[in-house]
Amino acid sequence: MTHPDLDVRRIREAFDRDLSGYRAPNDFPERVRHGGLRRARQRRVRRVTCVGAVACAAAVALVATAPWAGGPPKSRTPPAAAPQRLPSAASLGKAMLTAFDAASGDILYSTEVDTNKGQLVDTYLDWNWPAQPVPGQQARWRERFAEQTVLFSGKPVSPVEDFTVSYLSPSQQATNVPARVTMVCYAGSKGCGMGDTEVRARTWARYGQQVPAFAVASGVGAGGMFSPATLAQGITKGQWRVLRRTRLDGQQVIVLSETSKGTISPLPFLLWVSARTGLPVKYASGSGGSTSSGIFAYLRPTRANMALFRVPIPRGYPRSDPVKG
Amino acid sequence: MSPADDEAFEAFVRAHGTTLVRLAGALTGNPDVSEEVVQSALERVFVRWRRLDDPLAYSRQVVVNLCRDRGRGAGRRERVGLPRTDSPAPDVIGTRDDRDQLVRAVRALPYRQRAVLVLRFWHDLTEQQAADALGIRAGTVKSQTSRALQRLRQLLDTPATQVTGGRHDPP
Repeated sequence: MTHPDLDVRRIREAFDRDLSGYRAPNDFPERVRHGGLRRARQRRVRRVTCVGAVACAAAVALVATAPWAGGPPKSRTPPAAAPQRLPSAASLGKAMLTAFDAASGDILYSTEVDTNKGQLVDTYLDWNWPAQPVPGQQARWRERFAEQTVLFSGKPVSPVEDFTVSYLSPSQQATNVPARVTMVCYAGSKGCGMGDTEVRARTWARYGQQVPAFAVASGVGAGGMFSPATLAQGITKGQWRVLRRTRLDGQQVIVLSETSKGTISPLPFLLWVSARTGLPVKYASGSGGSTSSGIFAYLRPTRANMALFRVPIPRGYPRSDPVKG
Repeated sequence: MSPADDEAFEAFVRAHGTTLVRLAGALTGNPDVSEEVVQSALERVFVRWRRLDDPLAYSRQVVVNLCRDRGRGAGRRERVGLPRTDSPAPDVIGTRDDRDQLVRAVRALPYRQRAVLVLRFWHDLTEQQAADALGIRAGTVKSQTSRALQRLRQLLDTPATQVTGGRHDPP
């Protein structure tokens, strides 16, 4: 069979016919919105430079109660076997909860780095305090976001916005939370702000606004997708598989892999959990073209560390009034 | 996201969801994977909604990238053309076999060539728009299109058993 007449029309007809059964489901907008909110929330979570050696160490010290902290008790386990032994899903889940209770008053510092074809697309640096606030408690969140000016263009990332939000931690049912926002919108940004409030590029603003509750939630906090409670529950449900024990930046970690029952990502998703503290320290997802990775560190809320919530105002940036969009 | 943004986003999904699912379908040949990929892509659009000048172009970029990632693994089998069995449309002009083989042949092309053909000839994008979606230069789109068509002719001239591992057209 020869095809001298292979042309655009034939290709189009062939695909029109082949794809006629493909349709977006009716509830697509709702599903996408739900997933988008979850993804936005997830973004509040990553980071990882165990810059927080201090914080990590603090958490470690507080969490000596983890079942395998410092290796299982020698009286129960042969020393040679202990370091390689994987915890059971149940003990891992329990240790995570214990660990996080101890670190919940710390500052969660997290980073996220997204790449495309090996090139940096965007970066997020986040600070949340407390890592797991109690409803009604004073809380703060800062995010510094940078991305390529033209996505996937190969151009370097440049700062978009840097903001800090002070608020009273909302209840689980709240959709919005009154907050005080300080926002720096960098030159070249196409839009800065949260919800229906916009800040003009190359200016900064300080104002009060109702911020979406999902936005201020830390990823490891209550309900967050990396919260030890959520992870522990996911492990029980088979959403995570305990893969192996290894070393990361000098510390023993346990590597978890999300299974097909998981809910975070359609792509391979790995999570590193400190074997000593039970706290998430790193994650990586994606393969080939697009990847996303991040780290988590837990900082003591000292005066010096709390100063990290102060957003520096670039020289020459005037203060502006935010605009309702 | 403000209520107005929310409405605009929903309208966007309703207007372009099926087109994007079909784009993913053309690239992967798998309805389930297509839906999953487009949902994932649109979630990313949702997160960036207010910062995007051209949400449709960005959506296409993400869909094309995610389809490529998926194609490296499980999608490979579908790509070489195992026919779908779910309710085929009636063959009103009697050339269904030719069309099926053409689709299978396109899916047997290397990913970039396949994507170029789908974006240019089925999605009706310009060379520059296809280049933006693929993250390559317009000149590369042109050369890949030429190579893809050449390869497609070779595949279609080859007995079908070699393309699909199955069907064979009578001489």
